[in-house]
Amino acid sequence: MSPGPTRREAMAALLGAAILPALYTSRAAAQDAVISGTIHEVAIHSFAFDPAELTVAIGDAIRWSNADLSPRTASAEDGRCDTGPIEQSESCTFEVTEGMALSYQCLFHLQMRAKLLLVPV
Amino acid sequence: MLYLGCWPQHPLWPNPADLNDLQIAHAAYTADLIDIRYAHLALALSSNDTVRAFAKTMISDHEAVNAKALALLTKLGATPEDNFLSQSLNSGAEAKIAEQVALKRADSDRAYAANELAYHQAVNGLVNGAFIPIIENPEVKALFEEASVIFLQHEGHAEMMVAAVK
Repeated sequence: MSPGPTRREAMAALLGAAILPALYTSRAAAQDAVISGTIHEVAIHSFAFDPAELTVAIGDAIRWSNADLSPRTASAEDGRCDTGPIEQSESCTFEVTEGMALSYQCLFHLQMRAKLLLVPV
Repeated sequence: MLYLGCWPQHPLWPNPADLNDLQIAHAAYTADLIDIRYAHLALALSSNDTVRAFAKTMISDHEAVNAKALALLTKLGATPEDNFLSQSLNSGAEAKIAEQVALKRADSDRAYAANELAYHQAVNGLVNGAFIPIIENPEVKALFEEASVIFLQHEGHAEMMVAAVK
């Protein structure tokens, strides 16, 4: 995960609303940029991240989409970054960057945990 | 404190299983509002990180449930009906809040944690044991089933909070 809200907002703008599933609302505004890597989808439903383990590479992006009723977060367990509240039917996207934490959780529901497995590009 | 866990079963006394959908909706909405009130009080009284995090979660989760309930009632053109259970919930909450305010801070944290566990146990018993089986409207039933998943998580989360503030 990238470090901090400014980074998050920049990434959301980078990815753009146009590439998101129609069902979900993104915070992104710009639509004219692309990401070089893969965009990985993580569904949030029934108080779980799905998949709970995700293999990613630097330059990829992860998009969390919340299908649960109440807000969720995807927050690094080292506290350095988080998505902030993702409301029902909303998505939030982070770029995979060097040094990012590989374990994250929902700050509202600490039993919700998941891992990232980082592979070389 | 909520007394649903030992709700009287005498045949002449009011029984939650006799409520209709609109009365159940009112009672559930009331129960959500009460837990939000408890959470705001906890935020005002506590500096404990565990307690404060739990309270914030209760506010966001129960507000989300109530918002969806209101949207569904609006869609159905239905108005919730006040009833004996909602009134009992409110009177119990008033007593609990008065009790909570009178406590010292450390005691208040422990009391909030214990009450949240007991409250969610009681509400979960009511929702799953009395309400869901008798709700007639399928959309209302689906909402209760969705909410019950949340409330069961809260019960587990409350157990952790109780252990943390001992």
